[in-house]
Amino acid sequence: MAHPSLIACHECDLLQHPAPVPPRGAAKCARCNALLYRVPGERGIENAFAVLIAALILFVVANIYPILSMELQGQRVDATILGGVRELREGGMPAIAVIVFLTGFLFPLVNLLGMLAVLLPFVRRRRPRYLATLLRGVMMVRPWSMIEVFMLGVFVSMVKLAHLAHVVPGLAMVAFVLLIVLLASAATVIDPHYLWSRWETLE
Amino acid sequence: MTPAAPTAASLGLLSCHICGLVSRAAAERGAQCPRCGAHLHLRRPGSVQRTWALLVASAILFVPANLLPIMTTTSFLGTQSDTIMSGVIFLWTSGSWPLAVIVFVASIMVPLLKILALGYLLVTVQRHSAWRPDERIRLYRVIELVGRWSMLDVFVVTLLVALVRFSSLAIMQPRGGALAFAGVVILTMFAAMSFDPRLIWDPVEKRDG
Ligand SMILES: [Zn+2]
Ligand SMILES: [Zn+2]
Repeated sequence: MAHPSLIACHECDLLQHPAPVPPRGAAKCARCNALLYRVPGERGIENAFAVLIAALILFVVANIYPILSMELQGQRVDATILGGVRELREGGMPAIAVIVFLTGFLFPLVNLLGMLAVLLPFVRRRRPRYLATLLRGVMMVRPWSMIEVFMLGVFVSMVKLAHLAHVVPGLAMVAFVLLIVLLASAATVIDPHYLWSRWETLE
Repeated sequence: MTPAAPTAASLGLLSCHICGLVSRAAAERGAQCPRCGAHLHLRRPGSVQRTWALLVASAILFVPANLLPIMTTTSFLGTQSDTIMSGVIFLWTSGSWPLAVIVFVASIMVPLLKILALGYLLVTVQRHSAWRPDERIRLYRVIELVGRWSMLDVFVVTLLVALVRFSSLAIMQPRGGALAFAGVVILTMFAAMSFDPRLIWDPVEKRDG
């Protein structure tokens, strides 16, 4: 027996009736103040889908162009995430290479594609068939997608190398910063409570 | 004080961790969500034991992560090994103290405080403490939020190695400390995820009736 009109806080288990939330609003738990769910604005799903398409293009740019370039005696060395992974593997650190590959490349990509897959049926106004599996995948991958942390690492590396050589930020750096902003704005739409309530209304 | 209020568990209801639907448990074991089919549990199974195991493992790994070098630099000046702490000191003495503080907080303070805070939460949960659940849940949220930032130094090593490895001025190579350090970050993240925050509130309801 299901009770769709009730919601139990995922952090303290308090049972409550979901209060009506205006578009772009959020409902908080009455006891522990946890975020229960968010309601996106009008056309929130369509907008987020468009934002994610732009993010996908930025992701490609961010991984093709160099993040940092170092100039030394007329020679130029470029660094990309995948290039760094290759160096780590060849430098005898395959385990770290795998960790950087997953957290800096594969999980961010899976997170991005997963969010697109979650939203696509809603954009086409069809009832999604694999919503549970896709949402579970996105939720699982999200904490391990670490491009913001990687960007902070880029700044630290620049400072550390400044005394050795001339280091300049590359085009990928701009793409990464934009990507982080776009992903953060699109992620607010991936709200299980809201998406499942939409799921109920679709055929 | 928090007023007594019914929780889903106290009314024999289960909430789905995937879709959030609240339903009555048909059977004690093997209950499934009627909407999305996920397996339902009253609380995350074995949460306390699993979190303890991951926490102890990360505390042990924290020692080599800080003592072993994360990187060696070979140049015409000789070979130099860098630990996390010597990297912080280098940033500090070279005048970029804001970055030194960021790296120190992300790499040393956060993992250490995370291990201590999770241990504290586990002990209070095991003693069925009803003391200040709102403060403890806030502590848990902070732990969940900041944990991933400790991966910072692993990315720094990656970038330094990628840029400098082939240049004529130095050879930079990653070392075992970096792997131990990444292990600490991953284990503490798993530990925070396996902890069920609802356990903090369960004794509160018993106390208030
Ligand atoms: Zn709550
Ligand atoms: Zn469900």
